[in-house]
Amino acid sequence: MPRPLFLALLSLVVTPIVLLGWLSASAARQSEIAAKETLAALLSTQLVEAQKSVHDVFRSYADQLDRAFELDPGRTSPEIALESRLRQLRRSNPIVRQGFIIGLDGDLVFPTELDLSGRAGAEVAATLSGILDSRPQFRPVAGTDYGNATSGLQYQAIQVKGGQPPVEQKSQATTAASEQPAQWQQWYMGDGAQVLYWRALPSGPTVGVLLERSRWMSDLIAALPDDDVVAAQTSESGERTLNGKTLSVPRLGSVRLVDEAKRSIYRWGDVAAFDQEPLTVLELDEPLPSWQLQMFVDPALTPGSSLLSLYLSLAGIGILLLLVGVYVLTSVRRQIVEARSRVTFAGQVSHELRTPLTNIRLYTELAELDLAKLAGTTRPDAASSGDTKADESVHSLASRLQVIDHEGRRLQRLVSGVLEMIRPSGKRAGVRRQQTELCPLLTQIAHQFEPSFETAGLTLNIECQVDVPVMIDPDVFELVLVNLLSNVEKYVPSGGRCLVECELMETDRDETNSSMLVVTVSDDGPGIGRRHRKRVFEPFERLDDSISAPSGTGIGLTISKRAATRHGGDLELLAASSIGGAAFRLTLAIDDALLTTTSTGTKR
Amino acid sequence: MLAFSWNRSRWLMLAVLPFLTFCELGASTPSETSSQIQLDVGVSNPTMLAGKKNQINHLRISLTGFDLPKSDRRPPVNTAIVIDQSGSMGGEKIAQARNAAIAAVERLRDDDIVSIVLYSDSATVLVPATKASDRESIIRKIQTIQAQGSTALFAGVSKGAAEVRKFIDGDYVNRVILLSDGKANVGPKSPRELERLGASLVKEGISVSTLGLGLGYNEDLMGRLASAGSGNHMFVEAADDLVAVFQKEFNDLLSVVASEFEIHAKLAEGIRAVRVLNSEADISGQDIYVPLTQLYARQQRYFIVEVEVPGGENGAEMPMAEVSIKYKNLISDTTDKLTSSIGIRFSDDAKVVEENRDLETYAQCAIQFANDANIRATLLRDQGKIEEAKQLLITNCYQLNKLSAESRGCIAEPLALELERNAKLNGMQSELLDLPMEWTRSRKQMIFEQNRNASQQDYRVDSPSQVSPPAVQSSPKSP
Repeated sequence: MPRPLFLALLSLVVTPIVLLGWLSASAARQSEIAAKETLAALLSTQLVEAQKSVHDVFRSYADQLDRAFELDPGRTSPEIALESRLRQLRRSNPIVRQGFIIGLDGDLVFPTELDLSGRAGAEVAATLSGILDSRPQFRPVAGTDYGNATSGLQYQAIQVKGGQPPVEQKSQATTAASEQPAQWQQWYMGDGAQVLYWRALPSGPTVGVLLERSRWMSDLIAALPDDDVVAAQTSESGERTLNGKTLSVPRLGSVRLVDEAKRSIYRWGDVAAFDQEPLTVLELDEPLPSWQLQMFVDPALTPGSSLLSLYLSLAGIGILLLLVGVYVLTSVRRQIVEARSRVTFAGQVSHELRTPLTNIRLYTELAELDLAKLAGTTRPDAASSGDTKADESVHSLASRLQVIDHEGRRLQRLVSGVLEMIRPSGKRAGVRRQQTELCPLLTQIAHQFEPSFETAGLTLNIECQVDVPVMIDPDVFELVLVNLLSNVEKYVPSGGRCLVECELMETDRDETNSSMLVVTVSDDGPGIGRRHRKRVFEPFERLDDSISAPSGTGIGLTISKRAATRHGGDLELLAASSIGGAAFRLTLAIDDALLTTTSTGTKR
Repeated sequence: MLAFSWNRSRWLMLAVLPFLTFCELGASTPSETSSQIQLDVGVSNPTMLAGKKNQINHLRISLTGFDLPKSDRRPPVNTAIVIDQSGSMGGEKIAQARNAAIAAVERLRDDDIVSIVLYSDSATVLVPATKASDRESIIRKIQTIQAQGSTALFAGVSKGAAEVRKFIDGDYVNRVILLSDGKANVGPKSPRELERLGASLVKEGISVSTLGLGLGYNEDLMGRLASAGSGNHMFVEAADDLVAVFQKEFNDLLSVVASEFEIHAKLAEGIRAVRVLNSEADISGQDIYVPLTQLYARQQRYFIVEVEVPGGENGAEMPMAEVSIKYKNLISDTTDKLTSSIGIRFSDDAKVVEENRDLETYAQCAIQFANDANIRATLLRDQGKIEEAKQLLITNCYQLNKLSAESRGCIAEPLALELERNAKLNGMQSELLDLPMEWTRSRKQMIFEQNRNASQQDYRVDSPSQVSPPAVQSSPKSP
């Protein structure tokens, strides 16, 4: 089994599987992401609800504190009343940890040092200046400049209100209060984020309240859903039959409230889900901008996460492809074996053919010799006897023998071509160099073609410029030239011309001063199209394979090129012919040893 | 929400003049009605050395609950039982917790309100706040409780408090009872955070009791939550005792006679409040507010205020403090007010100072001092300073013993017993201190005892009408 074929087949099997796997995996991932997004969108209503609960909790604080800040327009000055109100709030209001009053001039009025005792107070006192520096600034209420004028104005406003019916007075006071800016402030102290509520009062001072962190966390937790709402609801409605079982009703999604340091404050839903990355995250806004609500989903609920079916189908496809591949491989192998046996057969047959062919040629030549002798001996007789008839028959015999010899040679060439073809490529063996006089050899070859060229109406010109013997294998030389010439004979139309040039050429290749024998065979025929140039040396490639095309096996040029290559040379198709048609150039390496002796002789 | 009118009570107090005290057992002034809380303000050194500046003295505000009436009438309770169902509770513990909760529910009357909250990884309201009349269904639900997961203690308390809050407006005794055997590991978990939550709940009138089960719970967290939450803290070492401890907790809960306290002490001009020894308190300037949610029948609850007295001349008298309390009497369903005031005088004679010492107040102060030292000893032991801690405890033991001997016959029996008990306790603890194997256990024991002492968890006097410490004034009283 040829390795490249096997590799090609392997890649043929693996590539589609990999491609398919990647495609389907990415498709699965995409669909998973899409499904997750849908799920997230679906479940985010839960988060929004939770966020709303958080908002409601803080809203209720704000309302509660706003109400607490409303003071009776009373006998005492508003600031003192406010102070005692804040003290009272600290004692009795669960959400209030510490109140602050900022006077009209922007200075802290309350708490004083006396109000901040104990550990909790010291903690507030330590960070008090920081809180005040970063507190939200309110723009001065209409009335612009601070001081007595403003207080007077406010006081007057209160007095005017006092004259109105009590119910309306209250509502007006509320609206007046709610028109005032109120803001949340976040501050880091002690255990974590602290929330402060600030409000500028219509009477001038700004009131702030530090909310009790543990308390609002507790209220948030209380406002957020239970771990198992379903169970609670069922138990409330008193469905006794379902008792115990209802606890297992799964809730879609688990939610976690995390603080600014990503510590979990409260979570509900399935515990297992919390190990993963959150599906969606909702950042809370005021007054807890650094807190998050995270939504988790049980991995079992995430759709399309199973790749098993994908893998199974991929494996199936892989097996199928592998089977097809194995089938193709075995059939190809079988065919290769068959072809090889055919080639072997052809080789054997050719070998077998060689002996009888040699015998035929041998005996043809012997017959010719015999005929020549006969003609010589009979000539005096013939001359004397004047038996022209016998002389005529000898002549015709000689010409017929010549045809046999010619065809014998052709057959021999074909057989050696076939043998050349089936010879394992890359083998350098089989080149038998010998001292060869080129020009006589060339003339002899040309002589062979004379009759057929004559019949085809072609002229053959030979220009041989090598008059020293060169060290080449004459068989290779003949093989190539015969093939080229027979191509000329086949493809050049009648009246055409063929030129064979033969010369020695020195090349500076490989630094050693080596010489090449260069033979150019050109014709003025139709030539070879540009797009066929590459193919002409391919085995069994015939440019025109139709019935009408000249006969041929399609291996002539191939074996010629191979033989030339084996001989350390090359056969190439020249781009342009000197006389218009196709031109082939054969180069053959000449043995260097001989070159030195002949080099002088080659130059003219 | 407590509605407190500061102005009015101040006017009331101004009408009360200082009243002097004498150390004499049996000089009791019976309260006007038996179903009244008894307010008793004392000062450990009613006579102070003249001419000395900035002396420390201690003011004691004591409240004594009256006995429950013989009839079955008791105030209804509104309680959330918050049960740890984390994995560590598995087996015997959760079984006993179920039994304890069931036994508790069975004791409730139909008009009581109960809710059951479970917490592990999160918090679950198993039984939303409901009348206890449907006992069977509640008990059936309790029986389904299984143990698993981690410990979201904060969430459990939060949900429990929320359930209690649903019925907070009624005339109920509101309480969250927390049972835990492990350390909080989900959500807020520092003792401080829980302590502040407890303090916040107290402002609403919800008290928090904590029951620590086994040796794995965080006694600091549980102790501080209970003390800030104005409830009981109990150490239950063996699950088998759980039912009994739960019963005890419910005994207390069902014997609450007064709630919604507002305790306000106004110090006279010039006297500075240093701290309140055994309770959280809101001190701003001369005003001291001490939070208290509930008082059990016959319980004597006292608070020790450490004050700094500017000093005075020989023979001079000065007012020290005016104390006013307002509370809801759960038996008569009325809001009662009591005021009392106390003054001090100065003397050159150290002997007079000694003789005039209010022994009862002095003993109570001593117990709280010892308790304070005991807390410090725990801290020292935590830091590895075993010897110093031991020394503190031994000193405690010695001083309490000495005082016990000195005051024999001069103070009421429960207090004398309390003195002796504390002396023994400190002695025992000092011996256990350097046993590393015992430390987990004895530390829990110490925290439990500290809480118990600070909040007079088990301090019951016979009855206010029979044994009544000197210098009792029940309002309204004229000079």
